[in-house]
Amino acid sequence: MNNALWTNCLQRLEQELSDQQLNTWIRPLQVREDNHQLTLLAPNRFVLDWVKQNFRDKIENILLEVSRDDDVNLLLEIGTQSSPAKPAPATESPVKPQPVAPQKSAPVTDFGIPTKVAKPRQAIDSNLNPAFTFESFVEGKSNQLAKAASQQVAENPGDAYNPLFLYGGVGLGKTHLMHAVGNMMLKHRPDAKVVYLHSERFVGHMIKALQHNAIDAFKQYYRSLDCMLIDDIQFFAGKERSQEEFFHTFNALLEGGHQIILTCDRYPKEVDGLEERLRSRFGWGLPVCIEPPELETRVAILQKKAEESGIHFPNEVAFFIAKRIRSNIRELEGAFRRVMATANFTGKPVTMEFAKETLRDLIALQDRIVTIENIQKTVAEYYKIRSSDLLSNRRSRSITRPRQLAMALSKELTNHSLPEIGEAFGGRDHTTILHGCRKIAELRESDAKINEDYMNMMRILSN
Amino acid sequence: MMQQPYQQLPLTFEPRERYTFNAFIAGHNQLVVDLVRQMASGEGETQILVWADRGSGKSHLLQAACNLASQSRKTVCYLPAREIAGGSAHIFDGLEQLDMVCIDDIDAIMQSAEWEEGLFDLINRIRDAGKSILLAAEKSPESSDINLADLRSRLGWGPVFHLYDLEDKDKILAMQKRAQQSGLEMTDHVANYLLTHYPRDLFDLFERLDHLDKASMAMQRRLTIPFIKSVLEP
Repeated sequence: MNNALWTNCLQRLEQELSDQQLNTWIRPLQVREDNHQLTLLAPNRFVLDWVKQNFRDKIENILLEVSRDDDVNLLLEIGTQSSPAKPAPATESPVKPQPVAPQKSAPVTDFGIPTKVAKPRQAIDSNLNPAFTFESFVEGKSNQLAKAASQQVAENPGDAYNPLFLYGGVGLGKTHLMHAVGNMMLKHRPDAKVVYLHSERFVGHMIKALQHNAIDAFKQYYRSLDCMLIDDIQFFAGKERSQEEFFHTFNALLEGGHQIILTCDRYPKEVDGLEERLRSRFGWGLPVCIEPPELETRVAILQKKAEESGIHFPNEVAFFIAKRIRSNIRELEGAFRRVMATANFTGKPVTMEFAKETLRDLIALQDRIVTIENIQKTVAEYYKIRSSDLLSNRRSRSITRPRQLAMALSKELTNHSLPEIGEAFGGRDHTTILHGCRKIAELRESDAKINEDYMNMMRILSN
Repeated sequence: MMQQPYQQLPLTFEPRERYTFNAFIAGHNQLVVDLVRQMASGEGETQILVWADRGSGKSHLLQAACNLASQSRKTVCYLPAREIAGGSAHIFDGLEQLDMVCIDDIDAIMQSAEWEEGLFDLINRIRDAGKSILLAAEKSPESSDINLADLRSRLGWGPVFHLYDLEDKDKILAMQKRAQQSGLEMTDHVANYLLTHYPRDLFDLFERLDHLDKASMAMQRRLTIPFIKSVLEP
């Protein structure tokens, strides 16, 4: 690929424009040169309009000069050029099992929207990440039910649980499980039309289809899938037209016995801005919750990641990080990558000292955020009592439960010793704290309401 | 009709200001700088977030990454969120086709549902496409004012680094480099004076320096302490 003309033109622009002008408006442009035509492809309408308004004349003038009187026509449009992409990192999805026909440059419609031409069965781009399998999923108490249900679905698509509805907080592995089902289905039946997409993408595709009068092709495409995996359906909230279209797609797939898997950050009934008929349909199959992973699972996840990277990651370091990062797996992964990147770059081995130094600011921040006082305030607000009640000697049930919950959360979320926690709860003995923590652990097993309260507060405090 | 979001974007940027890694004084941030440079060369991490107060070199770092990447014909885009926040999040459309996207000052678009969802979706698309994204913010994802928890967690997907403040000796070096770029000579004595008599963050220091640069050009004077006093404390 030789874009000599544009290269010359760019050199001139680099002399005349500031870095910010270049980097914001000129360098996102892709280029195609054919005979006497130079086509500049902008990633979207805004870049296109801005370049047309502010740089078109300049570019044309430079072209006139550098092309040495050749009559070159400048064309500006939205589109992309299939450029030699760099290899994706190993953790990404380097190989798409069945690539879509190569995208030609240009038309706006081709932003990944299904085209009017029905694709052959093999030509479906599933968007699945091959790294997300059941084997690479770390199972723990918090997610075993979700994993078991997903496996069932992968073995018996359309039969076992339909739709399978996975819900829980961010970064807990919902998407991983969804991909794992898709990957297993493709393993069993390589010609299955399995498609994963984020709900935002579904909405985007639909809008583009409407704009280009291609809604029938859109319907045909989605209703012909064997398995549709839609992530984060809470983003459908408030988008009525998309909900309606999704509702019909959903019904068509379900009636045809095709599998649907949905994820959401909360229970179907709790999603505001979602039509009642959708909410109730989402609940038809099996809603399964994924909870934040407990300490042992977090450690196992870190060890698994280290194993995949083929590096030595001492247990004590895994425990250290897992104790500090409790809210979700994505953040755990972020911290892991940071330690690994630093270790790779400096050539130093991963030790406790090294991990502490590398994550210094993160740890300081977390220590600042989650304090015992903060926990007491959150619990008091949650139960609509006063913080001072938690420190008092009052023994009514309405006070002791929240107090015990606050104690258990303090033990889980801070690194204070039990005597220190006791001190912060009105000078109580450390055995009282221990008793409170045990009581809550017991109640969480037997009383769903207590468990839910605990998890809610954990979420509030961890985020 | 789509909105035209950039009416307020000034075209009068200081012309030909060049951001390079060589001109970046890393101080205690050498590792972050090296990782960003690696990313711009198409290796290493595919998502990095740096956060720090203003004046700590975030914009310089992002633009230097764009400049370096474009040298090897990569398509890149630098978006200053503070300047585009008045527009529409559709500016993110199609950016996953580029090799690297850099978004500066992301705090400026937080708490707007449209922008938060837009950024969230962009990060997902870039990850799916195997491309790279470099983000800069004043606050860490944990303490940022983000409404969308999904976005907060995605910001922490790759390594998150705090850019530490430069020590005084490095600030002096940074000022001298910048002065040199404008063809000004700045002695240690003068640099020390600026550092000890005025606000010390680099943003303010650079602003003052640019002011002095213009004045020195107009008045044909060298950078001396009496000259500085006459310009900054008239």
